[in-house]
Amino acid sequence: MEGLSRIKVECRGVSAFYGETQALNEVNLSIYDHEVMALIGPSGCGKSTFLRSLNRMNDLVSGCRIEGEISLDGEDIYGRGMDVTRLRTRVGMVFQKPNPFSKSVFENVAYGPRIHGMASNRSELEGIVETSLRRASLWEEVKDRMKQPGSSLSGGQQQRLCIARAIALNPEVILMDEPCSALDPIATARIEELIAELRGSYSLVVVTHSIQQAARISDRVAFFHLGKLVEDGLTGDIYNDPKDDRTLGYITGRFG
Amino acid sequence: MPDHIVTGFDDDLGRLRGHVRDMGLRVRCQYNDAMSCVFSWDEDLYEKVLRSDDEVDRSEERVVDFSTQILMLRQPVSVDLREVISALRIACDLERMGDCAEHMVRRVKELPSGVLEDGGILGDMRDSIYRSMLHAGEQLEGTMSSYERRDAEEAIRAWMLDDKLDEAYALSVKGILSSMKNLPEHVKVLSSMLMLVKDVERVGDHATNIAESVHYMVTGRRLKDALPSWAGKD
Ligand SMILES: Nc1ncnc2c1ncn2[C@@H]1O[C@H](COP(=O)(O)OP(=O)(O)OP(=O)(O)O)[C@@H](O)[C@H]1O
Ligand SMILES: [Mg+2]
Repeated sequence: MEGLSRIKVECRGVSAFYGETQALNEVNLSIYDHEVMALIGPSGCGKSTFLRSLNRMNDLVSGCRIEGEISLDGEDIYGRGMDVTRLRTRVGMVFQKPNPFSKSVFENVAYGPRIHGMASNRSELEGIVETSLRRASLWEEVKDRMKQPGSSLSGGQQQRLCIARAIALNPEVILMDEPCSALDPIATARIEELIAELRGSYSLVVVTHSIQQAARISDRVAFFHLGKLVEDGLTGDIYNDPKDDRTLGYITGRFG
Repeated sequence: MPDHIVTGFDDDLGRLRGHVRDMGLRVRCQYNDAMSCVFSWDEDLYEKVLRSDDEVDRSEERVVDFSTQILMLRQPVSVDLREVISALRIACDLERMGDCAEHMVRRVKELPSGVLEDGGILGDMRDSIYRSMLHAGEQLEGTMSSYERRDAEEAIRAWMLDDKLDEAYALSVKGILSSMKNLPEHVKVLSSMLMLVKDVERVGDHATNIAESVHYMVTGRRLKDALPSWAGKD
């Protein structure tokens, strides 16, 4: 698939620092169009830091500094001309804990498109909201509850609401940081199914602590350890026969 | 390789290996008994070979049940997954080898005594049939030893013993076929013998399968892709 797909996001020598401490060390990794890339690795290895560097969420963390080069469709996202607000609509993010705004279901999804002027009238906005909720496989469950607060939904529904919110901005890449860690197996399966569907339209980068989940959802896997990218490759290859003993130790649950 | 953090997982894999090893031992015994029976008939040994078949079947059930449980409860990946898959495949091949051993003694029971002795109908073929059985047995030994030692090189060596077996087998078949032409009145005995050597060849085939499973288990790669170029086979 690497031969056929186009590189969407390219990272070259990416390092990250929180003050004096280095959290990422010279990471080189490409993310392709329409693929699901899973990031795995032990706690503290830098997965979230790496994920946040892809849409400059780290700018919001005081003391965090990124070195190296990250490009989106060949354009340096840390370059001078980059509009960060625009970048964050192109590269959307879904967090570990569902975090709907304290607004209605409708407003949660409508908020972004409205402030970005993506709809010229109410019915267009309603159209975007419905499409986004449908794509997030939530429409049927909430179409009669649009005025209720987002927080009144179940955890799994809230997470899909957050995905709808990201989709509403018409992103190209969606980043997800442990999107299922607070969900039961059924809600988790719904999100995994959704990830498979979204793959047709976006590139997805998903951090997960479940190696079974990474296996189920991803085309490729990248294994991080102590701030370094140890190896990445097709999921089947990595799971059958990883090149590095640290990867093997991690995925099989052994002391490395 | 380091141990699993969950020690119960290592215990499970250890037990699984134990079941496979145990099954391998039973089949080796059964095969050796069958071989003795072929060359010098012994009614008690014959009964024993038949009885072993039930034990081998039960061993296979243990491997299958235990593997299923590990797959279900531990969700293994990589080397661990290959370990379980290989255990299942090896158990299947061992079970078939047990069947072959059983068939062999049943066929010999039907033969008039003395056919393989000097001057018997098949006296001339005694040597090549003996060598076929010997090589198949060696192959079984070698592959199970490579399993116990998790040794991919040893698996390749055992796999390559197949050439010797093929040679002895071809010789046996040729001899039996030409006897069929020359001694048409003995065609029934001769075709029994033909099926017997076919069983021996099958034991060798299953042994090469086991060698392939061991190689895959240890390395994650197909044995045929790892062969030295001079050893390439079909
Ligand atoms: N805001 C911060 N300030 C200082 N250090 C931080 C900050 N965020 C993360 N770090 C440090 O950077 C390293 C990488 O953290 P990061 O959160 O990226 O890891 P992670 O792989 O996402 O871990 P987890 O799986 O636990 O979420 C850790 O050593 C962490 O302590
Ligand atoms: Mg994290």
